[in-house]
This record gives sequence, C-alpha cells and structure tokens, in this order.
Amino acid sequence: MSNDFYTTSILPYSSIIIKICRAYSNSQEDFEDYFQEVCLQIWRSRNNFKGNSKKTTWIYRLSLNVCLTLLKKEVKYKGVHINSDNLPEQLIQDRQKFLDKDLTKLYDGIKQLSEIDRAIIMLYLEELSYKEIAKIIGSNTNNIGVKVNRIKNRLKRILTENKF
Amino acid sequence: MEKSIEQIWRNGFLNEDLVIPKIKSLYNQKSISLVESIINKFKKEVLLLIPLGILIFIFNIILDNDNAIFWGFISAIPCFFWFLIGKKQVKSIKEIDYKSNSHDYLVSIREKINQIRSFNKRLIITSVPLGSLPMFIYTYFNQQGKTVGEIFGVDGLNYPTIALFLLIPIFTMIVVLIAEFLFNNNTKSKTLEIDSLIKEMEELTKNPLK
Repeated sequence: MSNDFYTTSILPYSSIIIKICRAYSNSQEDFEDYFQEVCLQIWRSRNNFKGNSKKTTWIYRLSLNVCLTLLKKEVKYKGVHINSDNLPEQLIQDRQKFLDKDLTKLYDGIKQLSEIDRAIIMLYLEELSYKEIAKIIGSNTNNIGVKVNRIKNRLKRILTENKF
Repeated sequence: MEKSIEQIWRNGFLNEDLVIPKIKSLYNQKSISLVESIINKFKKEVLLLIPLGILIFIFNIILDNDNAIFWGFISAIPCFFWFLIGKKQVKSIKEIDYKSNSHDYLVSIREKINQIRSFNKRLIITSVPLGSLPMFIYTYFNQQGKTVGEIFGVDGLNYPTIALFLLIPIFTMIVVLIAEFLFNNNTKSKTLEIDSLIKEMEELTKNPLK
C-alpha cells in the first residue's frame, strides 16, 4: 500500500471505515485489527472498483463485508493473537469510549443489534438514502424503509430499558 | 427533551475526534492462525497412522496366513515408524521461531513444509520397498510354484511366483499417490494461502505502508 494510495483511497474514507469497524469490534485491539483488515482489503480490491457506484458506496460495502467476515472468524482467531499491547481489559475498554457519553451509549446499543441491523442503522445514520442502503445490503428500498423504522424503535427500547 | 438517535450520532461526531489507528505490524494473526491450522491438520494425519497400523494388523489376522500375528506386526511397523517421524515433523514446525516478522516466519514455515514433503516422499520410496521386501521374499519361498493369481486367489493372474516382486514398485507408487492425494486434499490449499500471503507482503514491502 503506497503512501499515495493511502492518501487517496484510505484517508478520505477513514471516518466511514472507523465508524463501521467500531460498530463491529469489542475492544480497541479488535478495532485496530478490523481497521487494518479493511484497509488491506481496499488495497487488494483496488482494481475491482469499476466506478459503477459511488466510491463511498463501494467502501461501505467492502468495510461491512470485511467486518462481518472477521466477526465470524473471531472465535478462530482468539487464543492465537500475539503482539498484543498487553493492556489491562479496563484500559482497552476505556480507549474505545468516545468523548461523547450519549454516543458511547448509542454505540453500545447498536452493538446489541443483529449484524445486518447494525449495518442498516449505521448506513442510515450516515445519511445514506434507502436506495443506497438497499444497494449496499442487497435488499430492496421498501424493505429498508420498514427495517429502519423497526431498528430505530428497537434501538430506542434498548437505550431506555438498559439505561447504560 | 430527549435527543433523537440521529441527533446523538450527528452531535457525537462533531465533538468526537476520529483518530485513525496506526497500522500495526501486519499479518500477525493471519499467519499464526494459518500455521496453527496447518499444524492441526498435519497432527490429525499423523494420528491417523495409529488406527491404520492397527487395521493392517487386524487385516493380517483376518487373512489367517501362517504366522499371521508376526506378519501383522511386521506390516504394521511402518505405520508406527511414520507416526514417530510425523510427530517429530509436527514438533519441528511448531519450533519455528516467530521472530516478530510474519514474512520471515511464513517463509520458514513454507520451507519446512517443502522439506517435510520431499523427505516424506523419499521416505516412502525407500521404506515401502524395504519394509515389504521381507514379506514378498517370505511369500516367494513359501508359495513356490504357484502363480500370482493362485497366491492371491484372483483368477486370470497367471504370472510366475517371481512376478510377485513386480508388485513392490506398484505398491510403492500407490502409497506415494495416496500421500500426494492426502497432501493435496489437506495441506495444499493452506500452502497456497501461505504463498499468496508471502507474495502480498513482498508487494507491500515494495510500496511501504504508511
């Protein structure tokens, strides 16, 4: 991955990648691994982007695919990890917290949703249109509209019931 | 008034400074878990040699030849011998030092797998004929005058007893083919994965990572 590639293809989309990776990871260490894997996948697939969709849509889709794949493999990876920072668990969790307490609560709530619901709400919060979300998720626009409302209600319920 | 989800999200990121994680040393987990899975598969293959040895022993008893127990034991020896060698080979892969460098680690693992593979091939080519020769010599002297077909109870194999020895290279070839089949089935995909990881890392080294 050249610096040039990093500057043109990673940096402009880093906020997208960071948000998605945060929604699917449970520790700072996981988050960094997820982020790194997404960057690598973007680099590997650099020639596959044909410009048929917006670059952001492509990045969203790719980031989600990588995170979901890693999530499935997570159990496999456990126990073979080396080179960890050896940080105490509490410290790792603290590093994952955000400056904004409400945002932290919201993220904690999002993490309680199913993998696909997490993706849909993340894309919705990123103000993508239902059409774009449907394209990324591989569903139809009407279905996404219904789902977004359901997920939002579920999320509100989680946030009020748990009172994090 | 309670803030909406959308508002929390928007405002949260206004205050939140998104910090891009530094790229850590690459491929640590990937290479280690890949090697772990190769070791596990290899271990299973090596362990299979024990029931195979027992089966060969039982098969000899079932055939009910003269001195079946003795010959059963003799025929099963190679399996136990390969088991011990296999165990040593698994250990030698495990002993490869990580050296905090995934590329060098994978290259060493790849070399070790190649070494083991070619050693095992040579081992089969030498040990199968050597191990089976006493049985064939015994059968040759014990079954003098009979045709190969008569010895094995197969019609149509009207070859003289001496033709028994032709079975040695055929038998060896079959074992080599089985070993190759097992390798292709169990380890080849993993070694190809190692190769592609090494290639990718080398490409990344040419264009240094930010």
